[in-house]
Amino acid sequence: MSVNLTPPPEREFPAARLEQRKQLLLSRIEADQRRPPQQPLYRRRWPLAAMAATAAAAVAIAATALLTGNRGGPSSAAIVSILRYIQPPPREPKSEPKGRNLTSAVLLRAAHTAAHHPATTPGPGQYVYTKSEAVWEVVQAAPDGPAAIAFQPTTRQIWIGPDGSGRIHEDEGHMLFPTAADAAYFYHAYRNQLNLLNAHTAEDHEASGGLGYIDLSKVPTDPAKLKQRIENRTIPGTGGPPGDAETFQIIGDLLRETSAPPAVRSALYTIVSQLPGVQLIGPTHDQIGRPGIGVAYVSRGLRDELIFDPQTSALLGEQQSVVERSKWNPFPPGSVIGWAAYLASGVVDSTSDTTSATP
Amino acid sequence: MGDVADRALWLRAREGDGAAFGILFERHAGRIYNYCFRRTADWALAEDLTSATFLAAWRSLRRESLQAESALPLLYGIATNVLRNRRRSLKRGREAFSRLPVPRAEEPDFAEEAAIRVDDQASMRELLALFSRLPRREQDVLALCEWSGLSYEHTAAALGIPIGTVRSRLARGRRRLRELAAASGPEDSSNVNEFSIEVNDR
Repeated sequence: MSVNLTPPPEREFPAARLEQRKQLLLSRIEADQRRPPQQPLYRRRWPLAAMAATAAAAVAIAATALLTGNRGGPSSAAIVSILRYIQPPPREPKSEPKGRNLTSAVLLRAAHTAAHHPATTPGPGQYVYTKSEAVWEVVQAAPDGPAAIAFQPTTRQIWIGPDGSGRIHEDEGHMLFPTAADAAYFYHAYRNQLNLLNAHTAEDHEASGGLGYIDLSKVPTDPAKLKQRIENRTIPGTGGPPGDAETFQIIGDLLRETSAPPAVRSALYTIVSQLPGVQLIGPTHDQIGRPGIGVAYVSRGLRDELIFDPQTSALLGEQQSVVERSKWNPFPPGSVIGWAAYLASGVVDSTSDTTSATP
Repeated sequence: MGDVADRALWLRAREGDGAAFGILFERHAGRIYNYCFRRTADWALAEDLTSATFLAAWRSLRRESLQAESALPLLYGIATNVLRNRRRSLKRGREAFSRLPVPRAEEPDFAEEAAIRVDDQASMRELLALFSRLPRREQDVLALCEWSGLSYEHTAAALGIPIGTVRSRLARGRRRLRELAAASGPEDSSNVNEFSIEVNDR
């Protein structure tokens, strides 16, 4: 007897959970509505991964608990200590119009570099390979705020072909907790699935179309035209609410784990440089210490920062930090709550090939 | 308000009426939940993806006007996009709804069904191990028409493709799936227990 081709019967959405989910959805919607119109439609968070934690993390938890006491008061120092975060120096965004001009000048130089960087567009049967190291915030949400918060370190490799087939391989590290209360919550919630609380590997192979390849080989390279396409949200694979904050996010989407032709990258940087509200961070480092140029966009109390290599214009890394402490972001201003460093990328010939990737 | 048509609720939600959208959620969450389960073999993830689908629907209210009587085809279309994109981007993929607290064991409806649902996941994983070897566009059509019982018209509307294309993809997908099933005989079945498509590159 071979595999049964009929799925198991449909099940009820558990009634109590349906009501919880509805309340959570409605509170999200309400939060959307309260927001001033020029702000983006949602606060971007980087949650949701498999849960992981072990003795090593527990030691960190204990240490952290000593430093911080209860939830609501984790100090920057504690967060730095458990996550090896490099606390960014205080940054005063340059005031208009000088800052804008400086931002534009730096970015346009990057745009020029991008235009002269060799093309890497995958042919049929080839894959765009990207390896990154990252730490994500994992939020267990309740309708009125986070029930618990953790941080998930991950090393991620993705191979994505022009037909959308490919592979994602993620080595998830031990989950880290800002407070003992957070750790207690996660351990209790996952007490029946403790295997999920260990460091583990996630492997995902996708057939054609599974990964939604963003084809940037046919988008306009003229910055004005490309900007129009982005702002109309008509580039396949992108979407989202209107507004400059979302446009900044989409430009990030088009640069990370993609193979943007140099002329498109050049145009993207030009567009970022002209986006109202973009802040120049200037020379900075990514979270693994590599020097780069940072630009940022602040919305809803969070700063999203893209860091790129001024020599090659490659996207080196990105990070998200707290600007304004809030119920949903109970960390001191300046705390980095998520980051990624792009370690290698290139066009390769199979989903096990990493050899042609260039750092 | 429980018997108000989808289209009226959609219009009211569009005007900012969250309660009207809440009724749409209650009305259709179960269908989307089962659809997401059949695409992922994971009930907990299906809950997250259902929430993410409705949140995306809320945010698309201004762009999408509801022409049909039922919001379901549109919701299935949004769910299909959410499913497709869930692992695509490092950042976007994590932006889906945060997982709610895991249900407490004392919740009776969960405790009773827990064992059945674990079995569901195992058999669904086995089926998906085959199913995932079809091209994504055929998977979408099969999952909507055969697993969710959508008409050709509604499937076409959900995916934004012509009805003729639905028919041809359905026929092709059915044939290929049967071939794949036939090729995985009993001696082979140990290879399809894991939802991991090693076959593609080995």
